[in-house]
Amino acid sequence: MRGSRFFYFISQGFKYFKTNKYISLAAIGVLAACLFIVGNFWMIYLNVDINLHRLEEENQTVLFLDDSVEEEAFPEIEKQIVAIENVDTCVFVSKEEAFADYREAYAEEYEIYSELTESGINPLRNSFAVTMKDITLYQETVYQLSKIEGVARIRKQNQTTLDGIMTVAKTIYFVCYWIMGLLLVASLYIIMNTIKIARFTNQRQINIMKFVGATDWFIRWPFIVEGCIIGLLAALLAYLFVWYTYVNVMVKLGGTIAVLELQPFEQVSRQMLLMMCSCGLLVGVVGSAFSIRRYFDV
Amino acid sequence: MLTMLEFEHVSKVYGNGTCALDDVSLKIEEGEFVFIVGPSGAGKSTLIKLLMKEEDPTEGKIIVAGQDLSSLRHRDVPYLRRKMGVVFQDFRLINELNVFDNVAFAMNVTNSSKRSIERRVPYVLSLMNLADKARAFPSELSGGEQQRVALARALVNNPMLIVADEPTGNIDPHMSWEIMGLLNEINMRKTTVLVVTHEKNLVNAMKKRVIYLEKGRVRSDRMEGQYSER
Ligand SMILES: Nc1ncnc2c1ncn2[C@@H]1O[C@H](COP(=O)(O)OP(=O)(O)OP(=O)(O)O)[C@@H](O)[C@H]1O
Ligand SMILES: [Mg+2]
Repeated sequence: MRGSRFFYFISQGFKYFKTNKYISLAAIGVLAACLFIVGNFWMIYLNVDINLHRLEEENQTVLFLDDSVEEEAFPEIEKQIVAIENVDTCVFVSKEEAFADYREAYAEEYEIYSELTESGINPLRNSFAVTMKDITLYQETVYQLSKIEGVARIRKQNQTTLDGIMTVAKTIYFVCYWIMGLLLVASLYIIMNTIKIARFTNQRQINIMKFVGATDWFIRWPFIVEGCIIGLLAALLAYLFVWYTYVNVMVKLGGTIAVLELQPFEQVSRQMLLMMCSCGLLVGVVGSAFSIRRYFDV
Repeated sequence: MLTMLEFEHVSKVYGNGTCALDDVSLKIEEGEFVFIVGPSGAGKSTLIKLLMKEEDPTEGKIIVAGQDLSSLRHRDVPYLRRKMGVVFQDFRLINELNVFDNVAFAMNVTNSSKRSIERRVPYVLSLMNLADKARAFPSELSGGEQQRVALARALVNNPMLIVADEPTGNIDPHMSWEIMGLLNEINMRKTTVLVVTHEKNLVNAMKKRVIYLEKGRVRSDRMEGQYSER
């Protein structure tokens, strides 16, 4: 594409946008409203996701080894643990280290530990501390871990709360995905039909372009530019509304829910802007391009 | 002499069953001036649509400048259309653009450089006696002037063939003579010209080849012909 072509398409796109002012504005309004709702669900999703990740990082599953396992076997066991797909990190903790940790942690019961030390008895076991990549697969992974030979016992992390959170999170994910997906499809449909109305005014010009020998893409590009303008403006508008709503409504309400720690907006702002713009562009461009489809069969 | 276009046993039946052209065969050489006449519904506009590949024939073969249209892919069609300039009864100008830009528009579409546009458009406008109207908008022009703008636009890309479907249908009689005169001048410069018209007097006066269509068939095809011949 020659440089002058590029600018021609851009300026032509702006021209279409201006000729169909009211319809363009209506399209922006509809799209912005849809993106606003999508954005709020995305916000909920992001917060749940961030909280879940934090939980994952904090979550440690401890594998206690059978006392009969010889030291030479430890690397082999570690290899087997790491081989499990969902295992993120795996750290070996020897019984001596564990003992030292305990002594530090329960300093007030100092006597018990010194007695044990004197008699040379260490009641603790060698262990591996394991964290997981995806906490939603917790149960399956624990099961796999328990199958490894030499593992005597697994200390799970407060399983009931975890299960509860997991169920809630999965439901929220599910609802968010569906609502966002449906809304985007719906907005695409509305945008396509809105822009189609504008196409009647462009029809004459498209027709003239065709008989003077314009290629399909030459005709299409300006409309794609027009779609970009609509999509980006709608995305920006929706972004500002989501921002306002989040700071003024969600954070205030969310403060009352203890489990969910709401992130400051700045933490998710870039992701949100990116999400809004890509959805806006997608709907704008596809809607605009599809609205002229039927002019291309002659 | 090169054959500009050729129809071989071409028939066109529209989706609704109307048979617009029925076994039409004709041959037009490069540099010819040809009138296509006939009553309303005879299939004249259909013939032009087939020529531009706006429609495909139901049967038969159409060859334009040596190219068989049936072998043309969809994405090659614009390049076929650049070889011809078309003019319609309703002018089809863009009302938002002035005369200069309406003509330049056709050059923009075909990827011409800004410099060649600035050289070529004034030249073509002066050929069509429109030099002083370059900044005017279509709504400020008479029918005859608008049709001359359309002619300038058809000419600007130097086509091998000019096709005009009732170019004088919407303008008053003495302006019609001017348009025909211009078409004749264009033809003098070796461009093939094909004109569909209902103007009996003009056809009779100009003594050009006349193809008479009726009910989708060629009834007569004569050099220096007269309008209604049977
Ligand atoms: N798109 C179409 N679909 C169906 N029938 C059509 C279509 N276009 C034209 N026809 C029919 O084909 C026949 C020939 O039409 P065409 O427009 O070629 O006539 P014409 O010779 O140009 O007439 P006129 O002098 O009135 O312009 C007519 O009966 C018309 O009704
Ligand atoms: Mg006609």
